[in-house]
Amino acid sequence: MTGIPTTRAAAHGRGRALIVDNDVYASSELENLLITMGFKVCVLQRGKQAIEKLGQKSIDFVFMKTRLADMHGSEFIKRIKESQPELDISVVFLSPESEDELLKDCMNQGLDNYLLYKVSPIALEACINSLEQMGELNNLYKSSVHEQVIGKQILSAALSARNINLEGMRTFSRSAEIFSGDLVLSARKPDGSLHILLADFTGHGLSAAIGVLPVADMFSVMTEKGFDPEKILKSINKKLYTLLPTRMFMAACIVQIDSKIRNVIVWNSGMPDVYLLEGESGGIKQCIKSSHIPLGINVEISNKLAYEAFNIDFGDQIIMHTDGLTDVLDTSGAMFGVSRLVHLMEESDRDTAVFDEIVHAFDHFSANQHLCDDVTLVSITCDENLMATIPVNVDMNINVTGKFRKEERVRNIEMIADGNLKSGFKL
Amino acid sequence: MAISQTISEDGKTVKIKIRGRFDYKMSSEFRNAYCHHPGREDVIYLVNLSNVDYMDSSALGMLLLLREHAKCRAGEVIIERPSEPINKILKVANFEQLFTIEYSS
Repeated sequence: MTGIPTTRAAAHGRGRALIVDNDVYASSELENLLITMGFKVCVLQRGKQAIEKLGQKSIDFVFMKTRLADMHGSEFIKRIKESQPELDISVVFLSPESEDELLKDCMNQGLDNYLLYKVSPIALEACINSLEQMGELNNLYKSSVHEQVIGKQILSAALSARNINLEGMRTFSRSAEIFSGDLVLSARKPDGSLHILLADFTGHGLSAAIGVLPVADMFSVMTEKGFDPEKILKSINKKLYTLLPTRMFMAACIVQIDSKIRNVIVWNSGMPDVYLLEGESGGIKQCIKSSHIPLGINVEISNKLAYEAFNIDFGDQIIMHTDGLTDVLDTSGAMFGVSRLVHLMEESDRDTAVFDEIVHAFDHFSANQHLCDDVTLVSITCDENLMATIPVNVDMNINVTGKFRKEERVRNIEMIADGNLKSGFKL
Repeated sequence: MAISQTISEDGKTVKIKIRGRFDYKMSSEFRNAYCHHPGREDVIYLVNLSNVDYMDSSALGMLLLLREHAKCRAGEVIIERPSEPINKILKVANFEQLFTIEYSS
């Protein structure tokens, strides 16, 4: 069984068409053409009647005169798109002449096509064919999004069972597609110390997310058994080496914080710099660079993994991020960049959390553009709240609407990305 | 073309030069730059990154594919003159452990 919706034409012959035109002669000509083409046709003379009709009966195509006695075409479009945005109706304007300004305005609001009087059978057939193809594409797109959302929910649930949600840890994430190749995991060792992993698979979307589960499994099981990050990273590396194709790998860093929150140890394999910030001032105390190749490329990463260990003072903060954060482009094509991030941490306002400042700067910079890569930012505040756990909350709502239009597609994906995961991890 | 390719007369050296953004969109173009040189052994692939201003993780993955292609044919990949931003990306991934990187021509 698949969740692919039936096409609208298949549901009832070629479909239902509504003509809205007060010119009786023109509308009867069009009606005859549409009946010959296999449509069930309804003819109305007023826009208001048409809007009522659309609320009662399922209609596939609306052919309407741009200027009706009671309603202008642009108002008609606005009203049906506002009142019933979930309806999958193609709207075609009928006009005696090409009215470019009006058409431009209405196309932006959701007008699908227009035809000039007198409607020729060939032009009508071509117009309907292209709209039917768009409908098929739209159905395929919706079905694909639907399947991915379900897949993501299954993955979320599987991960939430393995993760602990720490009060002192905050995560910001944006994904380029529904699935994300960025991964944040946390687990506790039997001696009470914490392991926090941030990882970034090559690329983004479903292919990047496919390795997430085995990594999460190994990380949580090995941490709970008391293994050190070095052993965990080496084991994950071996697993990914056999699992992933040559072109794919996973950059990762693991932070270990002891149960008394006195020291931190960082392993960095191919991730951007990890920062240790001075609690009160927000200045950078340490910057931990990548010292190894990412995981999954070679059968061994290195004989002995290098790590960096530091004492921490109460209130210090650890900041980790994936390259999607610093590589994001603004509308002019300029990059957010590492220096902007460093500046934010160095010049942080004491009254605002560094995490919030970075998130605010990122959102402002990227201006809700479609992302080319997944973005993750993690902050860990090393104070008395760090070790407290809070319940994981995974919202299971599926909400997918809209046609296959670029801007809506982006909005849908962001809505899913924003709305579905409220826990301390992401996928 | 963002990727240009030249093969030496003896067929032993393939020069691949990339310009601009080297990312996931270049996947098939990059592959075409070395895959249409079949059957030869001991080939040196020189990948010039001096005019590249950005590369993503997919581009690193493409270099790994070329590395495997060369390895299977007893060849070698040399990354030539990475630009400043590209050098930083290669350093983070510690790719000098996997490739020969030449900094000057």
